Amino acid sequence: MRYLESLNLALDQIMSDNQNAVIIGEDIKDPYGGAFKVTKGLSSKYGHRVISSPISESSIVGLGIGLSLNGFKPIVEIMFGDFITLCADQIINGASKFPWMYGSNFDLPMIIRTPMGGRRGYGPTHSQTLESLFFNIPNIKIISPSIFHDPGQILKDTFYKMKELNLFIENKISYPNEIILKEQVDDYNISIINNNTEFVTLSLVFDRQTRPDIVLLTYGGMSNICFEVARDLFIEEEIIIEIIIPSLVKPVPFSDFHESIISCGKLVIVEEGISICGWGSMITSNLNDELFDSLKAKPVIVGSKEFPIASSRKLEDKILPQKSDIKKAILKIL
Amino acid sequence: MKLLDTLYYKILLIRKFEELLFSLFEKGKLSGTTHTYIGQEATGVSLIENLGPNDIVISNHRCHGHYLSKTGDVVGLLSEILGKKNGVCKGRGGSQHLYSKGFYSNGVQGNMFPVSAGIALAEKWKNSSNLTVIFIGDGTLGEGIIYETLNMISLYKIPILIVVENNQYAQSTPIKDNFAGKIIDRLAGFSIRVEENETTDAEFLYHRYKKLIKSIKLLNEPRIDIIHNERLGPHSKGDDERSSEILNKIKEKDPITVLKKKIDLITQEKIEKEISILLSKALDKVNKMENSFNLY
Ligand SMILES: Cc1ncc(C[n+]2csc(CCOP(=O)(O)OP(=O)(O)O)c2C)c(N)n1
Ligand SMILES: [Mg+2]
Repeated sequence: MRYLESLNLALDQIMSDNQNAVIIGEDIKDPYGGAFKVTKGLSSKYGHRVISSPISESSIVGLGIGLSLNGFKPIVEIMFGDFITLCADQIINGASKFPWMYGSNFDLPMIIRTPMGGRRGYGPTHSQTLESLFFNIPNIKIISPSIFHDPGQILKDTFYKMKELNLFIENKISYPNEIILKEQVDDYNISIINNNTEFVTLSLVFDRQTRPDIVLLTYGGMSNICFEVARDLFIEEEIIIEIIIPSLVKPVPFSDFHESIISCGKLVIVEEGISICGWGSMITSNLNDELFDSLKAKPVIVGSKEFPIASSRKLEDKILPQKSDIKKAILKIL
Repeated sequence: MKLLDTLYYKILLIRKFEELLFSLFEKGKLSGTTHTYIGQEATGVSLIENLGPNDIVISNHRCHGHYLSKTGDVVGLLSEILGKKNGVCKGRGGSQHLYSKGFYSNGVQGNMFPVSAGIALAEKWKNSSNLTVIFIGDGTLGEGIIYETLNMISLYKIPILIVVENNQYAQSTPIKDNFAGKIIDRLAGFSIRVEENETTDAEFLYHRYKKLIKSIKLLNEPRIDIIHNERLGPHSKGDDERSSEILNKIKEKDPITVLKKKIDLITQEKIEKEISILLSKALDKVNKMENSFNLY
């Protein structure tokens, strides 16, 4: 099953099982079914609960907040993640604050789904990974499944667990990819390593008996690229890498990879967003004493360079993190 | 109480409450900011007097009057503004960010506008007969989100009453420097019925809103109501550049002056006394509140 299909089926099931679920977004109605087709078929089945809205990102998020405050469970689609900038006020000064600042304990269950990521030559305003804008905003969860997760299941988990605003980040270039629902891929074992956290964190290792040389921490669309790197480096250099892929991006599920870092001591963090003040920075600057003391080398963060993302695929490649960048980082701290 | 007495009571309560805030500011007992409803009280009071307990009111930075009209909760509001943990929002929201069942306000201009549309849409989907009312100021019409939302309110026939309180100013800027065209012309472009009135007469407004609300509930459609008036007080505190000549002119239209002409002196005095006692008791109570916070 493809990433896209998994999400589409999950939305379908959410809508059919929950009369209070609502989907709002631009161009999401059939026959078009959304710019990336994630909502295809839903408007035909669920009528007025699928609202195809005007081009008003800020207002549709606000509409969703109001619906949520008044008993519904809205899922708002922002067509391209880049346009989340238009929703910043509603997210930051609205949804994320209401229950707390009103001194109340009501929930504000809501999902904003949006695709992020480049590598398709969409250029500076349609390729970014912008979830980091919200890393230091309290009371927002950021969730992003990879192809190794069951993205539809993660979306359903998000829907059923949500008490606050959830940003659900999908990766554009993952939409057509087959998801990996097996426990093994190319001799790598995939296992869930959750430690009382709500959302699945995966660990991919060649064999569980041998201690890995490096822990590679990543999420979303970088996960498959990291997997290719790990495979290559094993074949070429016999380097053993454990790849850890949380689906919960913020708050960082530290306890899930605590053991792995303690026993390995070498950490490379890979993200598609700009590496300055991004996910890697958030993780490395918040390691607890035990984790910090266990490090045998300074962790390396691999991400995008500080440029807008170019349209030319060749130039875009120089800006977004590549397999070669990850390899270099690994060899550096090995 | 007779209608006029009730209106007088509620307007005077807001006025005296906010005058109390100014005096607390002067004594250094209040921090932060506050935006008073002084001079504009007739609108909120006479509208909200027509609402039931399940109707929903959404307000803005200038929200004390709307809040008191909706809830009557003097102690909750005073303790909130004074930063007490027993405040209605546990001291977290303060003057501009108030919540109580069926009441929300936020201090970012335009922020609540789409939220109120969502709240109203939910009521429509629930087939309820509860009305959602949102108050915005003239200056807030500068925010783009207002027009995004008006478009959707009209498209989806969201039953909501939008009250534009045009007090002729946005902070320090007079409307002529801020607003191109006429408010009514601009808002007429959304196929939503819109009316305007220039008045501070609570009795007139009360009867008008009675009809308007009945009509909205019957037709289940959105309406825009523009009220032109003027604030008598400063924008927030001590920030009024208008001349005393102009202010004296506005005082003639003070809703309290207007109402006083319709109520006998004995009743007026009775109400004034009642409010004075109520507020001093409330202040006493709030001052005695224990105030240590736990962060959670
Ligand atoms: C988005 C935003 N910009 C600026 C401000 C600062 N501010 C607070 S009140 C105000 C004036 C609002 O004017 P209006 O909507 O006419 O309401 P009024 O104060 O006259 O009641 C301004 C600019 C704000 N709170 N929010
Ligand atoms: Mg104004």
